[in-house]
Amino acid sequence: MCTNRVKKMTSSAEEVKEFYKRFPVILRDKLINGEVLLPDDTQFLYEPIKTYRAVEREKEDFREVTIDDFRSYFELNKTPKRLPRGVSDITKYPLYYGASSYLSEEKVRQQMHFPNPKKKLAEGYVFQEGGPQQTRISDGHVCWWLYEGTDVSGFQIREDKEG
Amino acid sequence: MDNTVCFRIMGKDLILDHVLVEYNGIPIFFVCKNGEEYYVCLCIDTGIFDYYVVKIPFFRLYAMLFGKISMRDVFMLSKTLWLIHSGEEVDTDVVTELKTTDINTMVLPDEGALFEILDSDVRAYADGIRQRFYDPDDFEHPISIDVPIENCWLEMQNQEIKQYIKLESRVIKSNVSLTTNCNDEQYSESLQSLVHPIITSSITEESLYNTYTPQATARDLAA
Repeated sequence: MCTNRVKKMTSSAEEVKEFYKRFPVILRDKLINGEVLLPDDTQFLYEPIKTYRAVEREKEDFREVTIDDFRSYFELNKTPKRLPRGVSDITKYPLYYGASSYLSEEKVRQQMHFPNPKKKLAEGYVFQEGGPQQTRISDGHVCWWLYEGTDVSGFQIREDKEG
Repeated sequence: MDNTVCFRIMGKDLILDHVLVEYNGIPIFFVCKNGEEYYVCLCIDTGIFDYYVVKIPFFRLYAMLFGKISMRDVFMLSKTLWLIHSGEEVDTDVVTELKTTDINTMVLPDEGALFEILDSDVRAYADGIRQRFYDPDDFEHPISIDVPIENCWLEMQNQEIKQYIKLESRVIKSNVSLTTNCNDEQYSESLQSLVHPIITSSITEESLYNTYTPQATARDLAA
């Protein structure tokens, strides 16, 4: 289990707990009490990975990318009692506590054909100092579990093509 | 798939068949099934999880997956669809049937946007749909051809030209025979020149799909 890998990186249960405290509180508490487990193939040590992510922006909104653009589903969820369809058992699914991006720009551009919400394409690097990540080979999806306060200013909105 | 019930419409459970597009992990464009009935679902509000759901014929699912019709047309080609306001559970959803002429088209996929198969997972799903679309078992069942043709194409199989005609939910296959009033030697030469262009030119599924109008009858094509 991923907890064992974390334990190998640290050396005591107390250190594991301290490690989990680096995450936002929503994820932190669930990791500490074992309610959520990061996937077995989560990587904590890795080279920077270039990814693409759709961030909510209206057409004339050119604000830079901030940590608010990397909030997880549970950090953003305005309707906790209404869950999205097409997924099961979302509350225990660790990917919903992370931020999604893709290795492929085309995957994000496909999302942008769907106008609700309006989005722009951002590109940047997922990096280990910002938190662990899981890369899904089947579709190039990268889930990044950001530590609290991670600097994401390296992500830039691409304005070469209309979003 | 794990038999996830996404919606319940008129007493029918719509089971998740495949997610086609996600946004932040949320399925926003996905396919559901009830038995052999297919439904395409669009999340039109990722904040409160409202959906448009449209029931489509199987061939239209095939056409959408392979970029022959736009994702928007999947909805607009139907006369009606359902607007679903999600409740806490499927049983508490508010389901309303709407005419497509009355819906908010601003929340539909961009006009002209075609679905693209961008990963192996969706590719496997689409290939399964394609295989069913061309299921040779369907060729064994006799059927009246006095119905509108939806598609027609040619294929080379074992040095023979086969013609496929798609009628509603069936595909019929027939041999294509070449006739000529030449003598044997001239026939042989003309056959060579006739067949080779068919073999070597790019008569693709795409070009044939665009060539034959869906409403043509078998008699029109035979003429």
